[in-house]
Amino acid sequence: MSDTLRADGIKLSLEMTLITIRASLSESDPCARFLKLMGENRINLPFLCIAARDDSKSGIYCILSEDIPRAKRVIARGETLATRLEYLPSVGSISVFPHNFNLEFIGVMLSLMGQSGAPMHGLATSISALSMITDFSLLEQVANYLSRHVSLPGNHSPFRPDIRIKSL
Amino acid sequence: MSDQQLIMVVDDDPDLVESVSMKLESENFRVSKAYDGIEALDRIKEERPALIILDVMMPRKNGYELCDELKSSDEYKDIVIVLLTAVADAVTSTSYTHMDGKTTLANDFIPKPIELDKLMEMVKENLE
Repeated sequence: MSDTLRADGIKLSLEMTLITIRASLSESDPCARFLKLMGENRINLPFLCIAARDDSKSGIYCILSEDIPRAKRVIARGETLATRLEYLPSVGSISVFPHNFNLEFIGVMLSLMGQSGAPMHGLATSISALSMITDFSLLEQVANYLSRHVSLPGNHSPFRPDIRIKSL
Repeated sequence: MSDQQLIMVVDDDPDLVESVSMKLESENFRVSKAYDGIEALDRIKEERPALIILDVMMPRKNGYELCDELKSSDEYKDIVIVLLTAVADAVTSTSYTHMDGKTTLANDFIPKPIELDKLMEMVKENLE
């Protein structure tokens, strides 16, 4: 496996909080209740990953830190839902794109993340990007590490979204 | 060189770039991608596109700046530019909204979220 990989860019997120919900497949689905509440209240989930294994599943979701107080108020309306959520504050995502649907891309990125020494709290792909969740305080450090090992266009530098649009 | 027309897609949302690019390729266009205005300018200098689908809100050099730069250039003023605008109704307090009232020389506009079929129609009409 090669340690160098070509990519068009690296994008960093703003500060987020990671929420994990674990459930057994046989119980009433707390992940679905959580997603319904977030959707109804237009709380954006920049990162979402659901994994199932044997008779259990877990959902990993990120919400912008600035939206967490509102999200908690909404979650509190969801009866017992609040007791099922585990919070990990101050995380961020680093997205490398495009993956071009190449499995080697994921392998190399996982290897590089391991070498960087940063924890990885979540991993997901979109149509274009591979996004990894790590500590927000380490985001720049990880981006610098990846930049040194991923072949990027000459004038590219990891960027954050300039502006966000909210539908209220 | 291929006789397929080259379309450039410029947006800092890689998923939008990818989905629009896939649609364009399915319509038999070649696609060049960039994720901010500075990268776009580099790509344009490497190979001139027939049309640019250009987001307004991007880091480093936004779509308005790039549009102005291209349209004031003798070399690139004939490139068709379709601006992607998302802010006109949704956000009233950003510099982009204020700039939205600015007269641009873009050939066409399409609001986000994009309807891909509508965008394809717009691309084809503007290339006729």
